[in-house]
Amino acid sequence: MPLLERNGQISDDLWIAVGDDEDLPAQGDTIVSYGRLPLDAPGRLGISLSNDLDVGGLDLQVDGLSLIVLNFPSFADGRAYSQARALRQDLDYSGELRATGHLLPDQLGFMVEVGFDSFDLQTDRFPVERWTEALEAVTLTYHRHLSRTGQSPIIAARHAG
Amino acid sequence: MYRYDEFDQTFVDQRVEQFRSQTSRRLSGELTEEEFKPIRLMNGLYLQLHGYMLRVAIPYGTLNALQMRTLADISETYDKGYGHFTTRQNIQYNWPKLEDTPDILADLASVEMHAIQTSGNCIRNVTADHWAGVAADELADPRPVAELIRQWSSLHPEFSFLPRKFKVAVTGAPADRAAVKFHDIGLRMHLNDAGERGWEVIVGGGQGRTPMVGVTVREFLPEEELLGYLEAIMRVYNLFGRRDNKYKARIKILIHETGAEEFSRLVEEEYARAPRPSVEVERKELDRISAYFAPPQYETLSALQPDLEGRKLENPEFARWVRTNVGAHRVTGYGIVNISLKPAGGIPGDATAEQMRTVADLAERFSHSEIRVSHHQNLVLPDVKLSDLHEIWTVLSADGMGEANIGLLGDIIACPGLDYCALATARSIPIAQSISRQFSDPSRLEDIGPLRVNISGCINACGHHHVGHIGILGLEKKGKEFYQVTLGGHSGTDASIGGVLGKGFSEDEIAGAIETIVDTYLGIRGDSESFLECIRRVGTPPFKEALYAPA
Repeated sequence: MPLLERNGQISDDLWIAVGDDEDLPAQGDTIVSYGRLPLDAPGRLGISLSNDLDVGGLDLQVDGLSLIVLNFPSFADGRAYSQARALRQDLDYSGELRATGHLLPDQLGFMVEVGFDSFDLQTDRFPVERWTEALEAVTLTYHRHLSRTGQSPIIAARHAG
Repeated sequence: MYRYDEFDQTFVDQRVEQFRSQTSRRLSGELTEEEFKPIRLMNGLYLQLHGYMLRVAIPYGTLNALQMRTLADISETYDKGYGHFTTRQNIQYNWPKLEDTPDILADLASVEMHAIQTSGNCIRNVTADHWAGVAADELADPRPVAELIRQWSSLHPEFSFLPRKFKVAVTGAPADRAAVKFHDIGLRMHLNDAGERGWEVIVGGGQGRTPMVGVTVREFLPEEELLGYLEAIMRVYNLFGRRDNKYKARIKILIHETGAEEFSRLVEEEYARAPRPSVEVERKELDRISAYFAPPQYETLSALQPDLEGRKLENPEFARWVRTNVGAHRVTGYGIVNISLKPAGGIPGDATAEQMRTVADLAERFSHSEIRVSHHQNLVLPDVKLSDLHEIWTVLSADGMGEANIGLLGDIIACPGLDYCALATARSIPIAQSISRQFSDPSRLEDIGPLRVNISGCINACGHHHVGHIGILGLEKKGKEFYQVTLGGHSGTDASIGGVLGKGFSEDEIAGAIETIVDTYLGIRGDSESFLECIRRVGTPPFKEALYAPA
């Protein structure tokens, strides 16, 4: 499946998702579920969090993690937005944050703003340019303290200087 | 009032173009209806019984004459020449075509308006006391904070896919005209001993299937902490609110199931954890917004208005309208004109394009170009010199808006009901019409005194029947509509939820049942005892007896 990065680049996903009952491969970058931590991984380690976990209240050591995958079982289920914000701000996670599940191009702006870096496009229903256009549809935001945004916070511009 | 700066304007313009592209993708079939639904809902576009309905935001119910004229133009260009003012201070158009809606949004953007978040599972358009800034009893104008919340909630990246809709109301007055205890979050301003402003934060009020009075989680939150604290509440709701059943998904259910104390603890824990918006910036931004709400230059006028008194003596109808429809202004010699959109036999909240233009003209001539929409589905001219009242009344009366019934039995709140709404189980509008026709004699209305009648066409309670002094709920059984009556609801500071009287009434019986209730009240009321006070004193037995006892 193609991966979209927040700068608009499309790339191949080289991470290996390992099921809860499966052994880790001998090499490669692997994604496991949160419940399997702590764990010695052959390469870089990523975890997948289900969207009913209260991330801000978890005793999660983010230092050894290179990727965190958050899930959108339905585009209408917005819990992972709050999880993303908590990872960035409460846990100071600075590695890659990826969205997977039922995503729509029209949601990318929100996702970038709360801290997502990459998007697992599990569908070819939309032409690629629909996703990249969506990243640029609204360039301004009223939100002031989400640090990794590609959009320009209105409040900063208003009160500059 | 607030005016957009370049940032607000660009933001709304970009949003229109985004929706234009989304609409064309829907029309081409690229987006399924299921996927288009949350997108159109976030832009105020509903699919109703007969077609699309567009709900336009009127933030905290404040608009100017130019905006009102644009609303009138839109109703003629794209709709059937009228609009419907709602219980959330918005306006709805009932007959727009999907392909026209991007153009309607562009017309709105040209006068600093939008339809963002008037529907969908997001933070809805914020509402406020419709007398904000002018009421005699007010501590301070709550609208700068309402505008701050409007901007903060616009396309909030974290809170645009909530379990369910989320409504915020604010008031700066001790007398609650904004029903703050019946919103997901209600904010009431208080002053501390040092004269600083803070906000009582009330959470989890609401109507619908499970009516609840909100609970106070903070008695006095310093103003600069407001957005940070609101985010903590929203975050707890977003993460823990139920998503398995849409009828149990509002924050009131979360609070009910978690317990108010535990919910409050979760919010405080979240608030302590999260970084706050910079206090200094919040102050600067609030100051910037507040400057737009600076009061106009009022003239120094006498409290004694011999000309007005003379007109009242000459014309008892005018005198009555002044008594019932003009509210106390904080500046001597001024009044707050409440324009009734409830003519006898009319559709509550509907206004024609011509009526909208009449109100816009009056606002320009007599009220610093400002207009308000009340959650009672009426309009307000907030800054009127008492010496201008007679001319205003004359113009309004000539255009079907001179009804002297504000706060009285004829001033009925009703949802659109089965005439428009896909969720409704019964019609509301014809019931409102038959009751207002039955109670059309203004002197009788005034004698009956303050009495709120609210009508909902289904248990979702959009007509707020739970808080009607008399509430009417339209239901359906075996293909027949019938109407259940509740008594004793109230949305003010001493809020209460009405109790069901008994067996429902048919469409033909309901006006007669209201007549019996009113007659019973008139027979037992004490000196100057209002309907609500009387119900609270005697309870429902005398009314049940009158309605249901065998003849």
